[in-house]
Amino acid sequence: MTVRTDKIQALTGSAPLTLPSSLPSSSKNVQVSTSGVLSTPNVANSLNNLTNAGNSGYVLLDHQEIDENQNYVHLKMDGTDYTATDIYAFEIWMDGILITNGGRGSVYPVMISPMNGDTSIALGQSGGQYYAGEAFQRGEDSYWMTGGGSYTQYNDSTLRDASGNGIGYEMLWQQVAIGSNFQNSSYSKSFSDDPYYGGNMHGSDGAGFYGTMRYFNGFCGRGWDPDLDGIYPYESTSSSGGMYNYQTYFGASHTQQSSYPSNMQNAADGFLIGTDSADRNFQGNFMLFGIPKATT
Amino acid sequence: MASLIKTNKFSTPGGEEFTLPTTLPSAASNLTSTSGGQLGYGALGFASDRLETTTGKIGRIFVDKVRCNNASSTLSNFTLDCVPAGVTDLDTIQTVYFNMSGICGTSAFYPALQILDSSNNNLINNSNSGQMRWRLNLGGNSVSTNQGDTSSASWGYHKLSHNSYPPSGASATGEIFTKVTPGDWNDRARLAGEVRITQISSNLGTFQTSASSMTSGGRIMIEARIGYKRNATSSTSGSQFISVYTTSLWLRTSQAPMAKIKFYDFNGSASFNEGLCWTETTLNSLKT
Repeated sequence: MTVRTDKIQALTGSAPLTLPSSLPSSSKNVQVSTSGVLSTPNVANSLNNLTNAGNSGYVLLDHQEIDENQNYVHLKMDGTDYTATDIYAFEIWMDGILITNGGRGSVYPVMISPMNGDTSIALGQSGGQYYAGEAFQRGEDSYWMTGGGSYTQYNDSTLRDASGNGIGYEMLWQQVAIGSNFQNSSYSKSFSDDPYYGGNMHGSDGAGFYGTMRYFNGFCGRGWDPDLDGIYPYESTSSSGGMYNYQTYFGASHTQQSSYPSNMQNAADGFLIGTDSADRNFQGNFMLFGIPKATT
Repeated sequence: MASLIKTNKFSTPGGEEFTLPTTLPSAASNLTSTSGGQLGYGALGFASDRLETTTGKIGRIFVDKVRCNNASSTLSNFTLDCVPAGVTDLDTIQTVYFNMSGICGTSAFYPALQILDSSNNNLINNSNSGQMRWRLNLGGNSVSTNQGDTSSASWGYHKLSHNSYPPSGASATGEIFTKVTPGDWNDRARLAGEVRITQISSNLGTFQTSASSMTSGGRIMIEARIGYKRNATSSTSGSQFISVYTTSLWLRTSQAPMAKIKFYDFNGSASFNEGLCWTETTLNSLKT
């Protein structure tokens, strides 16, 4: 039996229901309200990772677009879907420039520390008793794939955190800084204004840095994983030494002590990329990916 | 007086007919509704193994992931699929990205890759002509850089390091990933890195032996960068930290398409007690 109507009302006196006569524009998360209205609320039209048979590849955990000068970049997961101990390995994507308040064209250190919350968990703290050893490969003119390695790297605490305090780090490279007196106040301005680099700096005397870095997240065994893409810092304005073109790192911890300090005994949930001075800032684009350790 | 009408079908004054839903779909994604009012949902959901353009061009595809957790068991090797779901023409596989992180062995091991077809036949063997180059960079304990140029198809594998500098290993108890004492990490290899394997012209023409005529024949190209530790840190010395670049080219008259990548100890004496490997693949529909 078919009843011809567009409204239905219960015998108990509640408001009449309106029958749906159109479909929502999105086909995701369709819901029907108690009054009979179809809707598609609160679901983004996007994926943040690829999966296969229940296994997950890299998950996008954070993406920061730094337009105005910023002294540090703290990439971190928000804890919604994953926590630090869920992530087996990270991949960081960077495409940035280093802005200086003075001394343009000179090189300054860029450092990275793994973080747990707002705490640095860098190996290599405590006066060099805990080591973050490394070996790296790089391309530099005829010195292709040279590069030192040391088992006593990174015992300093000169990386500035959000409060300006010195913390440990597990990666350092020298980067040519551009600008003058922070005059390039935004990323878009840095690329559109003349002079782009400030003063007399032009062209290849003031490149940025970009590329990828990977990181194994296994508690006190943490450290850098090499990859084929690598990072491309710009470490000098000299024609023979500046174009390193490619660097990738392997790093891991070891120590002759009997135990690690408690603040190192964690997995990372993010990374702080920074400098050793309030007179240096970043602009650019930074992303953090993680691959969950769970498998089906 | 109102009356109770029992029905599951209605029509509007305009003539559209509706059937009232009686069940909810189990998924909340990609729901569809028929003109008859039936709610349903498509097969896609929110999960996908590939990124794709609106015109159907496929980017990199996530294929497989294998974890070795010593708390469960050790593995004699990591063998991962590189054929994406739904791909039946394996010739269209362009490049496989084989990724490694945190790999530790039960003893010192000699890392290598085999490229397998769908029947687990090794595609690098005595039917190949091959060339391999490598560069080894070491840090700590005064070990120098080494480089070389060598190959032998009889190996049956692509080496990821030099025989003189094998990654360290040691047995363990429980899950290594969460260990927090130096003794649990000082002698671990912690091998990590990335390998890209490209196979082209898998079934073409005549075997070519000279560089000037390397224009046909099946070939596999491999490029790898890995890093690892060797030698345990002790009270008198530290570990060595090693980065290795290896690349090889393997030629043969014809060969089946690659379908799996096997990471293992070519010396055969070690198994693995920690590590994660995962594969990604790109496709090229023009390949035959």
